[in-house]
Amino acid sequence: MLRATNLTKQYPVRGGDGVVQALAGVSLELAEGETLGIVGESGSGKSTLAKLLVRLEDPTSGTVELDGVDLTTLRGGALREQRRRIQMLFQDPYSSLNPRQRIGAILGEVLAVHRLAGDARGRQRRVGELLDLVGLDPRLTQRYPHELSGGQRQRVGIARALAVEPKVLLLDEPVSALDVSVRAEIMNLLDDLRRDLRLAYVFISHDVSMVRHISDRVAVMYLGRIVEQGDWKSVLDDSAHPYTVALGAAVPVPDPSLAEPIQATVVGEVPDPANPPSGCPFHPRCPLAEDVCLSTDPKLLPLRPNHNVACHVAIRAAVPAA
Amino acid sequence: MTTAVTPAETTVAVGAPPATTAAWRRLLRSPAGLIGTVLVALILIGAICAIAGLTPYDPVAQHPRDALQGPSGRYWLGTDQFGRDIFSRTLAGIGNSLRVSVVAVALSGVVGTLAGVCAGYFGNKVRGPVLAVTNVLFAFPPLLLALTLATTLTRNWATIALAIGIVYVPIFVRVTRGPVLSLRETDFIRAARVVGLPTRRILARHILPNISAIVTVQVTLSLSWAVLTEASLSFLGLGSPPPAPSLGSMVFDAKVFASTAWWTLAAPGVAIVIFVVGLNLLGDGLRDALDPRNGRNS
Ligand SMILES: Nc1ncnc2c1ncn2[C@@H]1O[C@H](COP(=O)(O)OP(=O)(O)OP(=O)(O)O)[C@@H](O)[C@H]1O
Ligand SMILES: [Mg+2]
Repeated sequence: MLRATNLTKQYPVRGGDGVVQALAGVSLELAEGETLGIVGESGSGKSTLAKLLVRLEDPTSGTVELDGVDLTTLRGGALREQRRRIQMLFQDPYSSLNPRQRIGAILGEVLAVHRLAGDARGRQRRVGELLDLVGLDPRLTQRYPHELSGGQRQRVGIARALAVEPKVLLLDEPVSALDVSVRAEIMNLLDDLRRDLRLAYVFISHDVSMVRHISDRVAVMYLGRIVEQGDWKSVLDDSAHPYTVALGAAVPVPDPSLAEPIQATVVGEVPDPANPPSGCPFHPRCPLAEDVCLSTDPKLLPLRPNHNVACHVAIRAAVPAA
Repeated sequence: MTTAVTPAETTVAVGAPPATTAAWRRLLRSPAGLIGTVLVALILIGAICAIAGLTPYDPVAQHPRDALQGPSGRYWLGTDQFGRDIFSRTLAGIGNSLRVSVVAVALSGVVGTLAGVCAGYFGNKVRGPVLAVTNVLFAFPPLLLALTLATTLTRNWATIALAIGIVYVPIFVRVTRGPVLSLRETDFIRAARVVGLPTRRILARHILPNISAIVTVQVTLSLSWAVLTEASLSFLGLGSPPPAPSLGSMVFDAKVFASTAWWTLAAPGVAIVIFVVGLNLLGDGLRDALDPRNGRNS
């Protein structure tokens, strides 16, 4: 349903003439109703990927297709109509609602622009339904965002995204800005909505336990590329890439509602994305690095059915067995 | 006399919407805000009296036998060299100054804010030209442009307002562009785009309301500078043509007599000071009162 092909994104380096390769050729597919988890360290390009998928920014190259329609070439009204289908929930509920709009206006405006609920009375009713859907009291319509708690605001953000009846919802660290106590509530709400509305999710987090909790499939990102991808159990419990192994090892608590946000701690420093290492970008930090890793960038190759990895060592280890 | 043209501090006040009554209460609780409000109210009352014709005498009527009299029961603030009532002339001068300043600032505020919002929100294709024009205008000494316009076009209050208005456009471009630039990168603007709101609506409903505090403060401060610029122009003989009273030309006329008849200088001088100081204090008070970070529910 949603298909990204070879997405790249370069940003000019501030105060220089180089470029940051924020995304270096990412391809992914998402089926209806499926949840794809994306994990990776800070700076691995997760948010950049999200921005390209919702067309907040134009890719340097590559395409994003939704049901066969290439979104990257659409403009104006046609883009507005298509992009409705892919919505996004932002990380920080404190900055993602206009401080000068009441909750009712925030939601009503979206309905009005897309002519989704008929006249003013119809919109009012629909706003009530949306608030109810995300577990908020419909009387909150008269409130301003600053009168709401973080969790309530995030629910409003979810309601706004759902107002346009999307098929895909991008969740960029949807709970990491919230109090630990309300994280589980929001995660459960997202879980319920996915089932009730048959939504597909792209769930972004640097917290592996969170991704494990919700994903059907998982993609692991490192330095603007996907280094391992497949069924969640296979990728997370039977990780082949040394980077995934290191990310997973940093997460001792499997229950996301109990865990403080866990910064993945992989040994070594993240390389400068403006000046990536030769060969495999992970080789300077990799315990298994060999000569071939210094010279050749590994491709994402099938390791098992529904499990791909971009690692010379892992692939070689797997091939004789296959 | 040149007016210092410095844009007000450009802080983005993104936060809670200040409920209007709460903002008023905060304004009147601060000394600057209270004094500013009172002074500006005085000015407004004076201007309204002048416009409504409620002056003790006709501001241009001459009473030659009463020339250069000091303040008295008949002429509260004395008379000038033609025996015109200085109190009436001062009120009329305040009315004229206010008219010129309000029109000038309205012009520059609307044009400058629109240009600043566009320069901040859109990419380099818009930003480049807007900033180029702004910089050229900014490099112009206000008095020089006003002088040029006033001498080439017909000289009346509207020309003066136009000249001051043009010169002040860059101020509004400068104070709005930065905040819009950072607003553009906030999640609620991104969310508005993702959810498919048309750009015009995003600018009108999401960007503008969030810079209204900055614009309000800038309007107040610019008004005070406009009053000074208008007075300077009149002082140089480029303001509204005589005999229409203007604070600047009253000061100009008074300089010959000031040593013997101090009251000729005192009234328009004090009026200018009240005008400028009042608006400045009000601007400062508003800046604090409208900043939502300052105790939103207090
Ligand atoms: N607008 C930009 N200009 C320049 N560089 C950028 C820009 N946006 C992102 N980058 C760079 O692109 C890389 C990827 O950033 P991105 O925000 O996608 O990472 P992320 O995986 O979301 O990280 P985090 O977990 O911290 O959110 C980083 O090196 C970042 O510095
Ligand atoms: Mg991010």
